[in-house]
Amino acid sequence: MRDERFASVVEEALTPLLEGVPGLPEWSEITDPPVARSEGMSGLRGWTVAAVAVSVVLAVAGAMVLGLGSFDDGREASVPTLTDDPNDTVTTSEVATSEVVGLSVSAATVRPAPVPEERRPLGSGSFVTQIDDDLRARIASAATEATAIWRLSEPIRVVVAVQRAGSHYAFVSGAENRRGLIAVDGEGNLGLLRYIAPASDVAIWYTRLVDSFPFLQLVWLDLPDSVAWATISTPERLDGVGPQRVVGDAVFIGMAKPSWNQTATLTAFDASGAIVETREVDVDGGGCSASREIPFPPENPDLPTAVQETRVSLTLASVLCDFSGLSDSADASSDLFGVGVDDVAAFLREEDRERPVMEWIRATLRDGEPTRSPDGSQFTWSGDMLEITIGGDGVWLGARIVG
Amino acid sequence: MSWAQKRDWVKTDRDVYLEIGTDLMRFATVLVGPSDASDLVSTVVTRVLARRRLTDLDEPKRYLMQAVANEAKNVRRHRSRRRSALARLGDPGHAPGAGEGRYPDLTAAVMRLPSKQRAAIYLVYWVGMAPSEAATQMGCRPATLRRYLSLARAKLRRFVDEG
Repeated sequence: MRDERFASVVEEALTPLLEGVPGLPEWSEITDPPVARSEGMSGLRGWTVAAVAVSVVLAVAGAMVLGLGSFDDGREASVPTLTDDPNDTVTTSEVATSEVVGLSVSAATVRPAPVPEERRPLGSGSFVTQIDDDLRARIASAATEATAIWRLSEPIRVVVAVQRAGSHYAFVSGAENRRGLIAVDGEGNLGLLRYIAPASDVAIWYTRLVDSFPFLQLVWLDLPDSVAWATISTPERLDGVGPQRVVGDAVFIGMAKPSWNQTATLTAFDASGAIVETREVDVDGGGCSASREIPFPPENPDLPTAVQETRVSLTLASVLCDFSGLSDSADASSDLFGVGVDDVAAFLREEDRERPVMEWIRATLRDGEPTRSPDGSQFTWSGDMLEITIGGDGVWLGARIVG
Repeated sequence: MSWAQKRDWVKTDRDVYLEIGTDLMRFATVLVGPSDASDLVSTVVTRVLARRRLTDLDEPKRYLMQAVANEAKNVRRHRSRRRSALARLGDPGHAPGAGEGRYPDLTAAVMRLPSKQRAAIYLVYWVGMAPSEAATQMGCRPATLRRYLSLARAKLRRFVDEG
């Protein structure tokens, strides 16, 4: 039973306190916290932050990475040195071999000595292959089985991968084809990937997914020879996962979760642990509302090939947060959203910051039968939020609000 | 419905934040005092946003208030360490809320309550929740909440008797 006398005391006690409640922090402070920026960026020529990738990793692995790689306080203190690992040897050029779906993928590369699994932050131990037609063919072949895709989830970076296999869309990325992505198997092991920079030496990172666990990866290229590894720290200290070792002249630095649009401090060390260089970079996590979703719409044999391909393409682009890719699929002459949008990519990017438009696109195209116009020239999917129309020739004609 | 109309209709994270922010700030102020309340709320919301959208939460207010209550323990812990350090340096320090307002002793006494007891009396006697509702809000059993209320009442008995 409510004690009115006590209530009165509480009210008297809390009144002065609650009269002094400070103002609510601005939303912009929450979503874009101010970060102190250091000076000295000019001394970093030769360093290239190639890209930021968002992918999804095995939850268990993610936890492991967090536990081992997070910095509690400061950087150097928790950074193992190369000499911690008795297997550590001087990184030399060698022919790396990996079993990929029963195939031995060999290529000239530089590969570090293996890091024990329990100490391995995600990304370490990967190697870079030089793509060639033979490798491309073998990987394409491998993709014909879902399990093959799963096995590609080994930390392998390849420059080009596969297109389409059976009922799955395993994917591919390359400078000439920015759309990249994914594979699924029947056991729920889903590989979700993100291309890196279209103009760069495209990197694809295969991971597997048991539970959604966003993962961010920075790649530095063209490191000086003296760099042995590098680390990252962010305003949210626990985001940092490191260290990551140099592979060839690049280093891949994982982060346990995307820190959208924050500034990260990158630090490179030589083998003795001395800092070679530091820099700060703006980390654009590149995510959007659909980035944690699995993209694949089902096959639909009744759809014209061009329509299905555009459907898949739009779906993948939404999951990849590829605003430009969506824009590329749009009919330039149409008013796609009915609000006079000139720049589709910019519009979607801006809208998705406020509301999950990319997810609406994905969800709309994922399931259900489209309505076919009598002449077969248009196919329209109706979702909870959007109506999306694709022309019979595969051109994205419109996205309209339902209602 | 036009795109513009629809977009106005769809709730955003910012909308959720603004909708419940005032309640969060009040709760945070009761738990850690006005000087740390903003940081507490910012920390909690930022942390949640790093993982998911506020619009995805089934009960964002309840979720965030629980998160605020959990994080408040860390704030108090850090503050305790800071006070200890200051005390070693000769700074007398003071309890949050002490010496403030029209009822400084009473307010200070409330602020000295353990945070769960303070949260309990705030939710029940200030917000006006039923004990069962407050228990749900705090993620504890109703019996536990009643115990918090009882302990708080005992510690503030002097003021009740004087009143």
